[in-house]
Amino acid sequence: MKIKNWIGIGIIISLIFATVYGFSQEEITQLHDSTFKTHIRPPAQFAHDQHNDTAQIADCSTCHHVYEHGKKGEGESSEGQPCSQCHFNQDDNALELINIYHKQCRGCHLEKKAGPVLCGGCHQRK
Amino acid sequence: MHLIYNFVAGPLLWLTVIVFFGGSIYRILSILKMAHQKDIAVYAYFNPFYALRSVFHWIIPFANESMKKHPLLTIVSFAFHICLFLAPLFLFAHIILIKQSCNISWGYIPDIVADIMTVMVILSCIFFLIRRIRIPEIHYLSTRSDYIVLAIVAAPFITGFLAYHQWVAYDIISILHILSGEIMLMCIPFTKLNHALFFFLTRGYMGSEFGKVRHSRDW
Ligand code: HEC
Ligand code: HEC
Ligand code: HEC
Ligand code: HEC
Repeated sequence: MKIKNWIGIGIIISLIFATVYGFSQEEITQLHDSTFKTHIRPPAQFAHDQHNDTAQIADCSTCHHVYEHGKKGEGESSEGQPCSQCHFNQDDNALELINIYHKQCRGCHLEKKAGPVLCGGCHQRK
Repeated sequence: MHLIYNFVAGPLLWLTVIVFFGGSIYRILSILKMAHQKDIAVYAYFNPFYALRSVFHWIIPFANESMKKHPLLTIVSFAFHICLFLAPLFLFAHIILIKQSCNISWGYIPDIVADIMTVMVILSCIFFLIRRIRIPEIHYLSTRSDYIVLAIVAAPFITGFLAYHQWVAYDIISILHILSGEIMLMCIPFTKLNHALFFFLTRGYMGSEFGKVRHSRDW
């Protein structure tokens, strides 16, 4: 009963947010990479800006990195380039792309001991 | 939550690996040694052909008299054991976790197939439970540990099913899922579940004994 109430409140709040933001700008609230031909899980919850605020990640290149000669480029970043552009070839297994998402997201959560680490924490069924 | 997760997915997982593999190897070696001590002739007269012949008659549905006499039990048992092995070994979520931590991977089955297999395991466990309670001669032979072992096997599948569908208390159920899976694995060498290790040994021994020594069938 309690859970259902919270879900209800959550849906109403997100609807309000969705309409407010929908008119102002395109805000990332979840990730659903279209590189995957079929999706076997619900989209990963990820309110881009809000997440990085609460997690206090100021440096965009923490995620949108650039590598040069196997070393992470300092002061450079690759935002605007989808992860799949560098991490997925046509003949690649979907597992590879899933893996780098999980390594980055889940890896940091494990390291910081904050943020979801279980499948359903990110891939929430509504 | 992170603290508990890190514990069950960290030290406890290592303990499970050690207890499961170490325990299994230990149990197999000690039974082989015991066979030698109790009956020197076991190895001298061991015959792989008759051993395998017996294994085949007990691993194929309805290939022996006992199975023909109990068709329902046979069907449920085979469905149960097949699903019990295939679902966890080829579940996508397990594959991606292994890929992440060991960078090895193998094929996986669609989630819907794994879901159906999980339900079959749970229903089979309920069938085994009812059978144990309702059939007097089985009920009479059952000890408390038989029920506990059944619960130990069912638990990872029930919690896994609930976690996958995220119906209730997702975080707690997921932790319980990992924990119950570890308990099941650690119990394999040291409970009745050891038939997973000994099936081929006992069947092989019986087959060899009946075929080579007594010139008769054991199925
Ligand atoms: C926690 C990791 C993370 C951090 C930190 C981060 N981003 Fe992102 N960002 C992502 C992911 C993941 C995507 C989706 C990429 C994809 O679809 O392949 C994304 C997408 C974007 C996009 C594309 C938006 C669109 O609509 O397609 C832009 C632009 C962007 N980020 C800018 C930034 C900037 C600027 C910063 C620093 C202030 C930043 N990001 C910090 C993870 C992050
Ligand atoms: C401009 C190209 C580029 C983009 C865009 C990019 N990466 Fe990378 N990434 C690389 C390179 C190059 C490496 C280092 C070589 C390697 O290990 O594959 C790397 C390494 C990684 C690693 C470490 C791999 C390992 O095995 O430890 C992760 C995780 C990762 N990237 C995730 C992401 C995510 C998530 C995104 C999207 C937010 C992203 N990358 C966007 C080029 C890119
Ligand atoms: C560099 C570290 C880092 C990376 C990379 C990162 N996260 Fe997080 N994330 C955090 C931290 C820290 C929190 C906890 C924030 C808090 O509540 O204090 C968090 C919380 C979350 C939450 C909980 C809800 C929220 O927004 O606060 C979700 C969902 C989440 N992360 C998803 C993701 C996804 C998806 C990615 C990959 C695209 C990702 N995170 C990458 C550090 C990270
Ligand atoms: C920290 C957040 C996070 C966790 C925890 C997480 N994932 Fe993901 N996962 C992502 C992100 C981000 C993507 C890429 C965006 C998307 O969903 O398309 C992704 C992609 C996927 C995909 C490919 C897309 C699809 O729907 O087919 C699968 C499958 C998947 N994850 C399964 C899992 C499983 C199984 C687990 C638990 C073992 C898990 N994930 C845990 C963040 C997470």
